[in-house]
Amino acid sequence: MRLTATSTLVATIIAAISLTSSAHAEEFWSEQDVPLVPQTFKITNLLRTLDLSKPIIREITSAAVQNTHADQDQTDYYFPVDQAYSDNLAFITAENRKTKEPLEVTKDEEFYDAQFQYYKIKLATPLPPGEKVQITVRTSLTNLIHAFPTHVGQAEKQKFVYFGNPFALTAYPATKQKTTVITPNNVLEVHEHPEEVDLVVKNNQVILGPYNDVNSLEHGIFEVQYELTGAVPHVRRLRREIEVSQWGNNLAVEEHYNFVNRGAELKGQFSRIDFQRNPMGIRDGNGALGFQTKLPKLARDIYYRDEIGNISTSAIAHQPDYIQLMLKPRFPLFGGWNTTWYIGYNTPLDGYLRKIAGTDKHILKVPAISPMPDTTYEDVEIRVVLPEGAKNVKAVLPYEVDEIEYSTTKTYMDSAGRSTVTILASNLIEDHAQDLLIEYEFSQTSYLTKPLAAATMLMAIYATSIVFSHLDFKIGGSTIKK
Amino acid sequence: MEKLESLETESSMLMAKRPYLRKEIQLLEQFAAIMSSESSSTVARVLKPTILILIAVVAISSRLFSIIRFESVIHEFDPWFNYRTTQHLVKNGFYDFWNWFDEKSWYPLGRVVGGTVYPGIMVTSALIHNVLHFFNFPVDIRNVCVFLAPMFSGLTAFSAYLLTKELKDSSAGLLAAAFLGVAPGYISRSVAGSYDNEGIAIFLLVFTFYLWIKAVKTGSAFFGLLTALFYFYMVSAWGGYVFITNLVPLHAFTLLLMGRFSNRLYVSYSTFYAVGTLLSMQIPFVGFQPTRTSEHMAALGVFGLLQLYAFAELVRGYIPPKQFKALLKGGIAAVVIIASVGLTILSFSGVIAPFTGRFYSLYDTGYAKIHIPIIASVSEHQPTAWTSFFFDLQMLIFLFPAGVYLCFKELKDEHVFIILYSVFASYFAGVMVRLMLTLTPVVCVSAAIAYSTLLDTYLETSEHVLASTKPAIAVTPATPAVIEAPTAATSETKVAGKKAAAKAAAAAAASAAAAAKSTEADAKAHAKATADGEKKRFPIFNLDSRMLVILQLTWFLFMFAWHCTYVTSGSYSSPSIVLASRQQDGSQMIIDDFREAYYWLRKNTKEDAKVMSWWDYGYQMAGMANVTTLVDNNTWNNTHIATVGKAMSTSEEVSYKVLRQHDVDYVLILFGGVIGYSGDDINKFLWMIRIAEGVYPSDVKETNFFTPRGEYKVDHDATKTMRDSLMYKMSYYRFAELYGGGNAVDHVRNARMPSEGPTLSVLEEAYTTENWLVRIYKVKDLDNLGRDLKDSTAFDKGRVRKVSSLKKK
Repeated sequence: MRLTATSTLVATIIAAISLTSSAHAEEFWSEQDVPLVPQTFKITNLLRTLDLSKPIIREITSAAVQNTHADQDQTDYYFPVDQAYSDNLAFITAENRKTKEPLEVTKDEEFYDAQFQYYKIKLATPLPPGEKVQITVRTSLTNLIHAFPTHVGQAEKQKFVYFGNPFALTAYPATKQKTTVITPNNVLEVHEHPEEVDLVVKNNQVILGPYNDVNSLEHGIFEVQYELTGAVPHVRRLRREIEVSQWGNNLAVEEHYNFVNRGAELKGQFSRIDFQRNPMGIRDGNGALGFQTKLPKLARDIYYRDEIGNISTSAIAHQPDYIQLMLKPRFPLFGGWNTTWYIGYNTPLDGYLRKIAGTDKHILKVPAISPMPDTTYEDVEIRVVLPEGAKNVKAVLPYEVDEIEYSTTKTYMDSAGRSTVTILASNLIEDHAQDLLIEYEFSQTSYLTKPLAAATMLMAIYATSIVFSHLDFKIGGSTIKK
Repeated sequence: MEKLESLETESSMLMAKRPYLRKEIQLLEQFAAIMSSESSSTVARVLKPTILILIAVVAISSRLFSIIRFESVIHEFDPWFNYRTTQHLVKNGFYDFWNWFDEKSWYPLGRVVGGTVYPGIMVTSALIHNVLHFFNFPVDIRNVCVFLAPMFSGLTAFSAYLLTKELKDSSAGLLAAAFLGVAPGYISRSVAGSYDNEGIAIFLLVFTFYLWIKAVKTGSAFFGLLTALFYFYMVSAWGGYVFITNLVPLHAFTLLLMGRFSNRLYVSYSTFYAVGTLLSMQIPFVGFQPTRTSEHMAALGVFGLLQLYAFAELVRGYIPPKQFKALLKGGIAAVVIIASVGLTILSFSGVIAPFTGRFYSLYDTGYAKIHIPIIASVSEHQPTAWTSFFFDLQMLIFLFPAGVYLCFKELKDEHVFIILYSVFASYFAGVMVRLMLTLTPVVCVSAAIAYSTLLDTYLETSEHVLASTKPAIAVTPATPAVIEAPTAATSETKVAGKKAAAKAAAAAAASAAAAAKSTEADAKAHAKATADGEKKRFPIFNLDSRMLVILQLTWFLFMFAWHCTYVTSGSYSSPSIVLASRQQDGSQMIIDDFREAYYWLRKNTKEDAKVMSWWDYGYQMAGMANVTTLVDNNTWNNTHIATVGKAMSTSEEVSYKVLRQHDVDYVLILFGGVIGYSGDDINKFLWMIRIAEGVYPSDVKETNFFTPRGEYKVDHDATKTMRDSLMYKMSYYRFAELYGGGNAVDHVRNARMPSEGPTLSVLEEAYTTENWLVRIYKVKDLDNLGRDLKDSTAFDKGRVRKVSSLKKK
C-alpha cells in the first residue's frame, strides 16, 4: 500500500464525484446484485487483463466455464456490461480459448435492465452438463481515462487516471479470479475500495487478486494513476464519402475529419521557441505532430486539405502493400486543440467490385473506415454513392450501426440521380475497419444513360442556337438582307 | 487551288526571271487565295470563331500558373473579402446578403456590407454557382470564384475584338483580342484566384465601350440601352465605373465641339445617360451620388447640353437665321449664367459633394501623402514607375502612339473616342499603378490597329498588279524583274486592275492578322481603301524589304508572347498567402505560415474572439480565421485605424487601455526577421505611426521613432520610444533566444539585435508559426489581485528581478 494522506483525499473526492454522477451508485455498496440471466454456469477460473497502455482500453477476460445445470446442454453464455459503461464499449468479440474459433456475440434484448446490459455469447457446440469450456471475451473501451491534472505545460508529462472495478464483472459466481492492469509506464498511485482487496503493484502492473469465491456481479472500485504520453486522438465527426463510377472504373474516396486531441489541455500558451529548442518534448508531453493512415496501394490523386486550402505538410510513402500517408496538421496539436481536414483519393474499382456472372448483381466491398491507430471516432457517417441506375441496393455490415438510409443523390450530369447508402454509426475504433458489403443491381443498358444524357444536352444547346440564329427582332428597315 | 490560276498567270511572267522567289510568293499567294475566293466567307466564318476560342483558351490558361504551381486558392487580401461575402450570398440568399450587417469586422462598429459593397462580382459568381447546381454540377463556390477572372478574361478578349473591329477591321480585332488576352497589365489583376472586382470590371469596361461606339455609329436606341445595361453591370462591379461616367460624356462633348452633333449621338447618349443613371442609382453604395457628387456632374452637364443643342437645332428649323442668332446668343448667356450660379450655390450649400480625396490624388500625386496617409500607404496607389509601362505592355507601348496616330488619320466618331480614352487612361496610369489596368485595353486596341496596318501594308500582294500598272514607280534596283516586265501585260491588267487589286488586297489583309478576315463586307471596304491607296500609298515591291519588316514584326510577336508568359509566371502568379522558395536540392519549399496561424485562430480560439492586427490582414483574418477584426482593408474609418496604430506604436501601459477598451483578445503581427520576409509589420510600422499621429498627435510622434541621425533603427541604436512600442516588443519578443542569446540578426533589416530582448507584461505569446512569420499574442486579463500587470509579471518571474529592482533603490 503506497497511500499518502493527500492522495487518499484526492481519490476520495474523485470517487465521490464519480459516484454522485451515476444514479445507481448507492446500490454498488449496499446490496448484492442478482443477475437476471439463468444461473446455469459456474466460473471455475477467470483471468482478466486490463491494458491501459493506449488511450483505448483493451480488456481481455478469459474464463473457464462449467455447465452446472443438472441435465440440459447449454449454448448461451452471458457477459454483463455495466450500463454506465455501455456507451464506452466500442467493440466486443469472443472466442473459444482453446480452438481460437470466434464465437457469435449479440446484444441481449431479453434480460434487459437499467443496470446491466448482457451480451449473449453463443457456444459453437452445446456444452453438456458438468463439462467445461474456456471462453475469451475481448472488449475495447473508449473515453474512460481522464487527464489528471487536467492541464499540463508544453512538454510536461501528462498523467491519466482510471477508475474501474477490481473484480471482473460476471453473470455467474467465480471460484477464482484475478485481474492484471497494465500501464505504459510505472504505476504512480493506486487506490481501491473496499480496502481489504488484495493488490500488488509491480513496475507497470497492478495485480488485483487472485480472489476466491467471488459473487456474480461483484463490484468495488479502484483507481490507478499513470503516465501516458502523446496525444489522445479523437475524431468528433468523420464523414466518409465513397463514390463508385463503373464508367470510369473508379472509386473516389473522401474523408472529412473533425479532430480534437483529448489529452491533458495545454497550460498557458504555446511557445514556439521552447518547441523549437526541444521538438522531441512534444512526444513526452500532450501534443501530436501528425498521424499516419494507410491508403490502398493503387490510390492516386491524393489530396489533403482543409477549409482554407491545401495543407502542404503531408508526406506519402509507398510501401509494398499500401501507401502510408503521413498527415501533419498545420500546427502541432496540443491537448484540447482542434483541427479539421479532409483527405481524398481515387483508386481503380477493379479490386472492390465484383459482378455475379449471369446476373446484373454487383457486390461492392470497401472498408467501412480507414483507421488511424488509437483513434476514437465519435460520430461517423459513411456515404456510398452508387452509379446512376443502380437498383435494389442493400448494405451489409459485420457489426451493428445506428442507422442505414437509402436515398438518391444528383451530381454531374445526372438525370434520375444515384442510389446512395448512408450509414450512421457512433463510437468506432480501429477494429471497426472491416469490410462493408453493398449489393446492387446494375444493368448493361444503364451504361448508356450518361452518354445519352450528354448527347441530349448538346443537342438542346445546338437546337437553341439554331433557332436563335434565325430569329430577327429588327423593327423598321428591311428584314431581307442585301 | 484553281483560284490561284488567275493570280499565277499574272505573276508568272514576272516570276520567270527569278524562279527562286517563286516558292515564297506562291506560298503567300496560296494563303491569300484561300481567303480571297468566294468560299472565303465560309472559311472565315469558321476560322474567326476558332481563333477567338483559341485566344480565349490562351487567355485562360496563361492565368493558371498559380493553380498549377500551388493550388486552387483565393489570393491576396481583397479577394478574401469578396470570397467571404460570396459564400454568405450563396449560403443565405440574396436578400440576406443585401441586408447583411457584418458584426465580425470593424469591431465594435460593424459594417453594413450590403450598402458598402459593389455586389457585381459576388452576384455573378453566385449566379454561375446556382446555375451549375441547378444542372446538377456540384461545383464548389471556391472554384467558381477562383476561375471567374480567367473566364472573364476570355470574354474581355472577345470584346476587344468587337471594339477593334468597329475601329478598323476584324483582322485588327483578332490582334487586339490576342494582345489583351495575354497582356500582363491585365493579367496582373485577373489570374486564377485573384477574385477581385477588376476581374470582371475590365470586361465590362471594354464591352460597354464597344456598345457605346456601336450606339454612336448606328444611332440606335437599342445599343444605347445595351450600353446603359452594361454600364449598370459595371457600376455594380467596380468603383472604376466613374471612368465610363466621365469618358462617354467627354466623347459626346468633344464630338459636339467638333461640330459633329448628330441625331445618332443624341439618341445614343440620351438613352445611355437616362437609363444608365437611373439603373446605377439602384446600387445602394452608389445611391444618389450620380446627382450629388462632382465626379458625376460632367455626365449630367453633357446630357443637358445635348438637350439644349438639339432644341436649338429644332428651333433653327422654324425661325429665320437672323432672329435665331439673337436667340442663340441670349439663350447661351442665360444657360451659362444659370448653370454656373446654380452649380456654385449647390456646391457651397453642400448638395453637390466636392471631389473625394482619392479623386484629388489623381490630379496631385503629392496630395494623398500630405492629407490622407492611409491612401498613400497602399502600394497600388503609388505613382507608376516608367519601367512598369514596358514591363506590363512590352512592345504594345511603342505601337500604342502609332495606333493613336492612325486613329487621328481616320478620325471618325469612334476614333475620337479611342483618342480620348488613350489620353486620359495614359494620364491616370501614370498617376496610380493600379490604373494601369484601365490603360491596357486601349493600348491593346490601338497597338492592334497599328500592327495590323503595318501588316496590311507589307503583306499586300497587290503590288505585282500595281507594279505592272505603274512600272515607273517600281524602279528600284532590287527588283529588276519588275523593270523588265513586259508592257504588253500593262493594258490588259489595267482593266482588271482595280478588281484584282481589291481582291488581292483583301487577301493580304486576311493573311496578315491571324489569317481570318475578309467577309464580304470587309473585302468591299478594303477594296475601296486600296483604290484610294493607289494614289496615296507608296507600294512596297521588294520582297526582301518586305520580309525584313514582316520577320521583325513576327519576331516582336514571339518576344511579346515570351515576355508576357515570363511576367505572368514570375510576377503575377503568386498567391501571396503561400510563399514558395527553392531548397538547395532544387525542390520547392512552401512557407505556409499565414494559413497556419489563421487556421489555428479559426480552430482554437473562442467563437467571438477579437483579434487586432494592422488593417492589411483584416480581410484575410475574417475569411480564413473567421475571427472578429478591428480594422480591415475596407479603410473607411480612419480614426479606427489610427486607434489600432496607436495601440501598436505606444508603450504597453497606454496600449493596454486601448486593447481593453476594444475587448481585444489577441493581437496578430507579421514578423519577417527570421526568414527575411520584407513585407512585415516593422517595415509597415512607419505608416502606422503616421496614421496614428494624424489622429492622436499627443500620444504618437513620428520623430521619436527616429534616431538623432534621422535613421529608422531597430537594433542597439533604436530609440527608447521605439523599444517601448508594443509592435517592437511583440516582434522581437524572445527573438534573440533563437540565436542562443548572442548574434541575433534580423534578416530583413540586417540589424544585429541586442542579446537582451524586450519583455512583455500585458500580453503573452499565444502562438508563433513555424518560421516566425506570424506571431499571435494574447491580451492578459486584469490581474486577480488588482496589481499592475507589469508588477504581477515581474512578481511571477521570481526573485531575481525583484532583488535587482531593490538594489537600484
